[in-house]
Amino acid sequence: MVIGMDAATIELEEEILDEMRKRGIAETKDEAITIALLNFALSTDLLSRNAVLRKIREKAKGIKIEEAELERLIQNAKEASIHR
Amino acid sequence: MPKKRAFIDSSVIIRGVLYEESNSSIIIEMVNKGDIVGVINEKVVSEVLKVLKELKDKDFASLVFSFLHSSFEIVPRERYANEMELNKGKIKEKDLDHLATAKALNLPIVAYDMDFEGIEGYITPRRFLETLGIVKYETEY
Repeated sequence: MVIGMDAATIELEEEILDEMRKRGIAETKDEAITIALLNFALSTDLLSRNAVLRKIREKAKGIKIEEAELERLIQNAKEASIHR
Repeated sequence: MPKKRAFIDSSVIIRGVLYEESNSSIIIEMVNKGDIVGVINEKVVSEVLKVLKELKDKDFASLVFSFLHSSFEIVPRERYANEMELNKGKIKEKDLDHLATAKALNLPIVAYDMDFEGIEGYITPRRFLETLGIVKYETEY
């Protein structure tokens, strides 16, 4: 037997996803689920902050960027996230 | 003794993530260990995610998002809205939220951004670490 979510839960899920999109946190449901899982794991000690930072460091090693280009990206992001 | 608290700009968080051998990276590690309290706002989160999504992918940005939410104190806009009004015109609009957050909580602004030059409380990662007696890398970031 497959048990589906009721309409109220689906509606709440959509509202959360919509808010995450508005705030630039997640664009898709998959992305939102990844973030929710990570945050759940961190808040319940299933995952440590150290483990997350190690993973971030590991993945960041593959990124090569010139300082001037990075500065341009940061300034663009600052301009793009002005609250209007 | 209470822990040192500071507003950490996206220019520091992003460089701290990307450049492991940097003063910004040391600051990130100190926040992670709870040696200092790193304070940010939702605009910093948004800036960091935007840059990292461009440089890598959404999964990487999600990891960093979770790290920021679990390690930093995130100040809601309502807490610094008054300072936004008071500081309009004193700094470029892109940095107004950050100046207002730091002013509202009376915190130094740790950043590597020349647009903060001349702003009271602005301090580069290197100079911030110097105030804690830690000097490791020559670069300001």
